[in-house]
Amino acid sequence: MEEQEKGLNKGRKPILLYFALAMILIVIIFGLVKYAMAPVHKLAEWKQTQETIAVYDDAKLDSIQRLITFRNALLSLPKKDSIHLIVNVPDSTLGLFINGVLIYNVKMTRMKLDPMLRKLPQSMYIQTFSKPLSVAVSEASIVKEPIIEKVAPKTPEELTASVTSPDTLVHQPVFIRLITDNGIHFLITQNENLTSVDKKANRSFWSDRRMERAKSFFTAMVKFQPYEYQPSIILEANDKALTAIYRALPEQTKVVVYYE
Amino acid sequence: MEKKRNLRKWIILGSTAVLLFFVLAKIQTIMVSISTQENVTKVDKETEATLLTDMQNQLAVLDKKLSANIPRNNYLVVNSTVNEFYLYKGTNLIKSDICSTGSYILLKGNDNKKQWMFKTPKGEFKILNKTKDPVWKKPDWAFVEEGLPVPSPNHSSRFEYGVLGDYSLSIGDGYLIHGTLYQRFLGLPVTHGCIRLDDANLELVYKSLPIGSKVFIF
Repeated sequence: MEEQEKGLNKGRKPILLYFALAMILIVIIFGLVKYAMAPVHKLAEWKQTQETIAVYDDAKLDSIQRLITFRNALLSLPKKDSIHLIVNVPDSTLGLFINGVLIYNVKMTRMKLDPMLRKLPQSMYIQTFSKPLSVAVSEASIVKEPIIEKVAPKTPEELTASVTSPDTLVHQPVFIRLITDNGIHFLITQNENLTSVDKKANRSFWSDRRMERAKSFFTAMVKFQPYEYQPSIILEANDKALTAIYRALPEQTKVVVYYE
Repeated sequence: MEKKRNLRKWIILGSTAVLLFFVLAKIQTIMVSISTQENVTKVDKETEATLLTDMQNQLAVLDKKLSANIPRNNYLVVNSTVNEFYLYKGTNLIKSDICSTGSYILLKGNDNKKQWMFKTPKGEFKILNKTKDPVWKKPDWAFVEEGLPVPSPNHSSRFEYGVLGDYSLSIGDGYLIHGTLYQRFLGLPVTHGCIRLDDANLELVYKSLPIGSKVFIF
């Protein structure tokens, strides 16, 4: 009798194992399909709000159309007293623009566009970038306003004891993330990691992003939900310029992007 | 024989893993490439030339509109993060050097009722007024921050001569571009919101910027 049960158990074990393996495989395949299709879904999402416009099979015309798109976006920036960010990839510059005047321009040392943006069809490029993009989320490793609180001294003698050092004299690693309302992530980082604090901040910035993406992927896989693709633009410049840019930009700023 | 079979198994497994890794790394790019095929209109040489001229004309109009925004007179740009100024004539830089801007100190009065923020405002401003040999009328915070009692509004102790340098240019709301006695602090964020320049730069800015000239601060 016991031997018979043992035989049955032996037969059941591989079936359960195969079933579990099959389930895992299904979840993995489902996840991979979601992962592969994520940029396609994002493109479809953008396409829904756009019309089809005539584009030409001509590199010269493409290039000049993109320049026109860039100029149109610059001209449609709000004319009120606000500072905006300009990302000019062909010139490798990051700039600040106010009321039609480019007041600051800094050379970027690295620029990387993700595959979806690189391969964006010309008609979608024109419609996406012919107007400024609105920034919905703005975060950084530095504070927007380096406020130092100070209580007034009661006597002139107390004044000498309360000397403070300005924030801008202290070197701080600069890592900025701007997310536009159409979902483009601008990941702007400093180009040098001089100190161990810089290196740590650099590691933390990228590992946080990787963790966030991995979490989003596994959540989508387990819950059978769509995996949201994040089109991204990685930019790199020197820390002082990035500090100036981040502190100059208001929370709800606009970004104009131009690339070829 | 057994060894050979094992080796073959590992080779197959290894190459599958490499292939899988490659597919995973490139799958999104491949999918984007497949899905981004768009209908393009083929153009012949003649049409291309016509379209190119049209587009170039359009671009020239847009460039003209954009350049109309650049001030024709001299204007000043101040970078309050690195404490530098840039004096421009159109797109040409005439002079750049260090200056001092707001310290970002939030001074809280002893009674906790009043507080003052010493930051340089950001945005676009205009020169509203220009003064030679300006006299500084010390506001309340100048006494509070030194631990001194605040005198009556027109008390003689409020008036200081020579501390603002030879010239001052007002950009509104009490913010000035002026000189300083503390030249060693130039390049540092130490002011109460005003922009401090050294004597030579102050003279140049005073002479270069007529009333109405633009000042951009970021």
